[in-house]
Amino acid sequence: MEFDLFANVSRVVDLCAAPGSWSQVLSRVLIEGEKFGRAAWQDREARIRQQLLAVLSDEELSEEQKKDVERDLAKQHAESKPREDVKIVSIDLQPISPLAGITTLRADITHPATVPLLLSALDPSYDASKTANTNQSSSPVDLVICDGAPDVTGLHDLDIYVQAQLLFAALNLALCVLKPGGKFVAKIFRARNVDILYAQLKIFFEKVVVAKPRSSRASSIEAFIVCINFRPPPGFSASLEEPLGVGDRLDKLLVERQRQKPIVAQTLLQDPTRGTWDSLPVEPYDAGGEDITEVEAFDETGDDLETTGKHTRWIAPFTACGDLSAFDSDASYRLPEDYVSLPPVQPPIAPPYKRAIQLRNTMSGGAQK
Amino acid sequence: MPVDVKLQRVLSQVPITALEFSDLPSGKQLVLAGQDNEIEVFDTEARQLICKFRIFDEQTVHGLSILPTAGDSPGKLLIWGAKLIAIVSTDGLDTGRVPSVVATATAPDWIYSGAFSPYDRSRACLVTAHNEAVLIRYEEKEGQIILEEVIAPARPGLYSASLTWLAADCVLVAAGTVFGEILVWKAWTGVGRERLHELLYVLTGHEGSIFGVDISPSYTIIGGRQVRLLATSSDDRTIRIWDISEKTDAIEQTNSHFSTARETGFGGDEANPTLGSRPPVALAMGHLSRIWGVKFSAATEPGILGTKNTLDIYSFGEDATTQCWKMEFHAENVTEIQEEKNILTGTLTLRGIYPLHEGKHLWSRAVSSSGNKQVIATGGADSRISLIEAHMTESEATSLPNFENASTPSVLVTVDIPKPSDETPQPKKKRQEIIGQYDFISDRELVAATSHGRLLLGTARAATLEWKEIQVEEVLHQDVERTYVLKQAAHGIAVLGATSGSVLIYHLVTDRLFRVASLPGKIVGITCLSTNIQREASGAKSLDILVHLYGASNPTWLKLSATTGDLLGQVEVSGLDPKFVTASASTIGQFLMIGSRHGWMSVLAPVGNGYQSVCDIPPRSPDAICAIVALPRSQDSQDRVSFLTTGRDGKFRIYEIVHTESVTNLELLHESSPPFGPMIEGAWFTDGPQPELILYGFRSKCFVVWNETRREERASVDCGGAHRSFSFLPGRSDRDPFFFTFTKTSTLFLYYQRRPMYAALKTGIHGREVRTMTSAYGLTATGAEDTTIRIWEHPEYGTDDAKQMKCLTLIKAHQGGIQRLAWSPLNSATDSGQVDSHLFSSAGSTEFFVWRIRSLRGGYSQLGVTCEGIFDETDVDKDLRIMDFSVQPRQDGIFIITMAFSNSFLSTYVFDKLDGFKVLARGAYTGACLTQVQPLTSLEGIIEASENEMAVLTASTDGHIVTWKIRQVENQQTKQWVLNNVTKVHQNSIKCLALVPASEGQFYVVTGGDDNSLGVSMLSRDIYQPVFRHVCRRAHAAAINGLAVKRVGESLVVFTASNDQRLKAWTVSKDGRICLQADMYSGVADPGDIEILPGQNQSVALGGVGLELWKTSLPG
Repeated sequence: MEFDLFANVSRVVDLCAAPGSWSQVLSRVLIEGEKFGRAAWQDREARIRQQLLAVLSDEELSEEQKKDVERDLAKQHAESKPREDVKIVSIDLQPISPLAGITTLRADITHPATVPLLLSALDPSYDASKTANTNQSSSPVDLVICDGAPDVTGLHDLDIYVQAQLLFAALNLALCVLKPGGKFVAKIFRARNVDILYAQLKIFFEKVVVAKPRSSRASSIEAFIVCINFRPPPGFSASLEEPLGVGDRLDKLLVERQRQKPIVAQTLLQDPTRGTWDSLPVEPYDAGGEDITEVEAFDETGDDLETTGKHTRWIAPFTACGDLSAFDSDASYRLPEDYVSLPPVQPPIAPPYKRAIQLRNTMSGGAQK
Repeated sequence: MPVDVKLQRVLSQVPITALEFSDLPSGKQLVLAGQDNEIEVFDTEARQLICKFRIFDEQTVHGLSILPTAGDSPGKLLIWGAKLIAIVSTDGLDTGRVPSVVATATAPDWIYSGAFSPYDRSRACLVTAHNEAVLIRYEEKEGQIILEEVIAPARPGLYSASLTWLAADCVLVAAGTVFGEILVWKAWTGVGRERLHELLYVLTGHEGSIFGVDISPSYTIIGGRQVRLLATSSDDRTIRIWDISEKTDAIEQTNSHFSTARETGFGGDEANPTLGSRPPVALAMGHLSRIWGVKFSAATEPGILGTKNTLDIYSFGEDATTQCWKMEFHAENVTEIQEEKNILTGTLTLRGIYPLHEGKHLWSRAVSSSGNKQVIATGGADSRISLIEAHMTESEATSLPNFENASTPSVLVTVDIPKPSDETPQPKKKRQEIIGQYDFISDRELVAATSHGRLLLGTARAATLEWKEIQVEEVLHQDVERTYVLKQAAHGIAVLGATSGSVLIYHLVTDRLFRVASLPGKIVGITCLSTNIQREASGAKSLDILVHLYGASNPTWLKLSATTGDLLGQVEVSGLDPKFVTASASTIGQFLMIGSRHGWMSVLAPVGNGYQSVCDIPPRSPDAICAIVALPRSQDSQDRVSFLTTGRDGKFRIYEIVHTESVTNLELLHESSPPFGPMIEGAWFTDGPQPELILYGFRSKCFVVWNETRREERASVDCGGAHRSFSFLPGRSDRDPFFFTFTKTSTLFLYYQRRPMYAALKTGIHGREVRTMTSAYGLTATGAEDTTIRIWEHPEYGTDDAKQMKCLTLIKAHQGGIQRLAWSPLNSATDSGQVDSHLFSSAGSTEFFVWRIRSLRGGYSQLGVTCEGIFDETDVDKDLRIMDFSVQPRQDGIFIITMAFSNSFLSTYVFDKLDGFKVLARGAYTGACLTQVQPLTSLEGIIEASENEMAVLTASTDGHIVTWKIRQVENQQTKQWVLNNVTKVHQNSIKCLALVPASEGQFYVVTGGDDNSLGVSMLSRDIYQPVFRHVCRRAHAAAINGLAVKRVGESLVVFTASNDQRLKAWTVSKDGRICLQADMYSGVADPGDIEILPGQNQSVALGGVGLELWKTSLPG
């Protein structure tokens, strides 16, 4: 929530929504006006843990920071009042149980038929036959979220490809329905060639940051790519005939973008304390305010793009989001004795092998239930 | 001086992602395997790697297809990986010439399948992940691949595809979608054509993604009808066979099915059945997991099934098994379908399951057929390649199995009892005659005693045993009838023990049966000391047997002539406990070793004219000790004597006899379980300079022969289970033919295995991700998600060709995936290179083990492993993970172990082999999961830990590094870990860390984070305060999971491994300046750890999904 995702957002498309966690958040923030995010500072549990050892005392908020948080909270509070003209469309492969105020659709986002389906859901007056050749929504949205992940096979190459295809499918839809300046959030796998993916997303958005919630396990390669300020390259139009992710359209766009970039000489700054010329100042994304020196490594490999994989690569800045005091998903906690586990809003969906289990049970005399 | 670091990959063992057979004109059969970005070529007969060559720079090979040599036209390979295509000439491959890539190209999308056109050798077709047929032409002169056409009737996302050329301008495509649909369509090639594609079928019914499709050749089935079948496998755990023979009324080519606004995803629209769908011919469930692939036996086209009406089909699952199926068409339909009205139906029957791989997944497979012989190759995530000769053991009465027929690898027959000759007196009121006791006495001959008192000599010949009745003298008739034990005493000599107390000998050469002793009591057992298993005469002068009488613990030792079987004398055995019941015995060196039915062992030493028990070893388990086998000796064994025992507790053990003037005792050197049991009936060592250990016993209903040294199964015979009479006559080596006879429902069965039905073409490694590595004494230990620990010998590699990793031992004791491994920091390798050290391992659920690792002296060059400690703290939550630990040895052999727990606690224990773990100190962090712990005192070169001045450094998921000091708390036994300093370095989890001493009272802390960053912090040694903290934020594109640091002069060389599959080398100067030195593509996905292997040329080992060794330019 560091990115104020829901600020000034009223029209949202949520892709691969089941079991509906984002949609639930959306419905509560946008429709019911609840507050999330930094409100978590008030998490009593977390405070107690912090104070236990006063380990993080030097991280205690300064007065100024506290004011910031309060201002943010107030802002968020104001923004998260039930909004006018809220429209949320959720799409998933599995049926989603209806949530108040949300249009739910069962569809495969990689399927071409999904675009007209989504457009007509956003704009009831949409008529595919009349608006032939244009897949641009007449009533665009502010935010497209895609939380979809494939059932991983274990063949890393393939899983990364399938996840990227899911992202491209979401991006294809986003390009059709997103307002200029809109936001796009999607799940990614931080693995091989993810830097190529980052570079490709930079074509369409001003700012691309990879964010990992602290509630996501450290061992997990899943993270979110947060793309802010949608600004498609001039002359670009989303096309169903030529979807992204297939063919070399993206590669060409990248090369084009690279070509149009002004050539800027990199400036080396002398380090005043050590007198060396080694450190390039880097835009600090983690404004911890501590004296951690961010250094850019000198590349002495002598490789150029040609030899390192023939792709334009760019590493998006990483940010761990969620608060330090939030629950650590890697840690083990002892639950309080009176803890009652709440069932998830939607129970897990039926796996494809459900029938296989049933059949096996029947064959073995149906002893197991 | 600046340090320059170069990296070169010298060894790689990663998942096998592509496989294909290649039959050369010379008759030689090759297997081509895709491993990472290379193709490896193996000779199937010699089971040897012929050559390997690189195809792509930074892309795994996902598939390959072969165009065989035809006349003057050389053979070619079509290879693909992701979007990349390569064509390779196989010219001269049989002469050992390394092929070269002749052309490469990039397809518009990920490729699932491909094949050259048999009609035009320059053309090929590939199918992409969006159901596109990509037609390419190879221009030989220019050495170019030209993408001619991309044809697609619709572009749904696929998980599998298969294609076959029907004509020079027509390709049949079968595509399995993510959502369980199967599209069968034709692509018509040729520019300017009006109609490019024709959708034949949309097959629905699978309830999950389609992971495997295979188009059959065109078969002629009974009735003369031509059929083409499609096999599919899915996430829903089913295999389905479909009839995709061409119909005249192909459904209209239509795009409306795909483009109208409609709800899609799982679960079809019941009301509107999909166009062109039909029910499958047959459906079956076999695997307990997702099924990655299915294949038809590769018959030559057009395949003719003839009168059999059956087909062989193979499936390959995530459970890492290959399953063989028989497809049988329902006969009544076969005649009816001539009228082209009925839908073809059939049944799939499971014929065999082959679990030949470790861990999970079979990523590649190939089937080769020549004549009746079918060979299946499978490639796993464990980087192993297995060959299976898909022959079902013939047991049907109709087929006449033949021992001399070399085409079948094995035969199983039932053996009838011969009718008694007329002279034999017929017993009157007896029940049906059955064969009771039997044993092989030579490589062909078997002696059997029947319940009617007949003694038979069987000779294995042709289809069965040829029986001959052994003449039994009238006086011995009673004894034979009361035979309780019948065993081979030596080559050509059988010994019989009767409840009458008589010991009889049958001597093959003279065909004579005679009594050698009459003992006062019922004989309940005989143990032959001088035989393990004898196929031929051993040359020994005498043979020794122990006869066990009912109710007597001390056996009677009979010494017989090895040539005639005559009694030479008796040896007195004394001193066994009255409750001792002998189950096995053997002479080991000068000692007699006896194992009991209840797990006890007794060491007997020669005393005067006999043997006296000098030492009783209490049981490790209450189960019987089945066999005692001496370890092969070698020159450096000296006076050390070792032996091996197998038991009914599923374990085998290796002991050394410790013998001084005053004490005789046994030292346990090794204890482990093979992947079968619990009945491990016996063992032997193969001949040769490098003896291998072979174990045999039972697993569930099967008799199993297992090569423990190579960790490969050699045989598995369905005999009904462990509790039965059997006789096993193995070959000299574990690959030689062998006989196995067994009794099942009172019937005698004879099994003959001519050759193993499966073999490893390439040996594998861990079946799942390597998470941790530790290296010392020339040994590298790896721990993986597959819950096993393996210890490897450092491979020697020459100028270019790396050898395979050689696994010395495998430890399987943990229940969860291994989290961390560490060798004891004390170097305890002796001068002679003999290892005697401790290894520590941790895993989930607070599992922590202390292992003693020792070289086994003598001719068996594996490692001995025993468990010396299991962490079992009652006050620690069992669900916790021990994320990391540090070990510091004390002079007195005691270890101080500090563990970092996932609940943010830090505990230090004193470990002693006898007393176990005792708490020394505890501490608690903020709640964040601790990920690393390292002793700070070791920086000073102090290996010995002083309990009052300990200090450790931890790192955690909150990105902080923390130093701790130990403090005594008044009136409390347990000391306390107190925070000394907290320093933030990373944004979130610190995944790897190394401490390196620097000069001037400072030390480096090098860290790798989940935030893609590489951190280098300098801390002062006295107060452990940071001097500087440098962070390189975008060191990798993904989380850094492992790092290894080597100090070279004033600089540090850091190697980092990340999820982005780049192996990078960095140098860090004294002032914290970081330079990238090398940035290499690695084929190891999801790397867990990286380790510097000491040696002449320093190399780096990288472990994850597979293992890689990289040679560095650093001096050793």
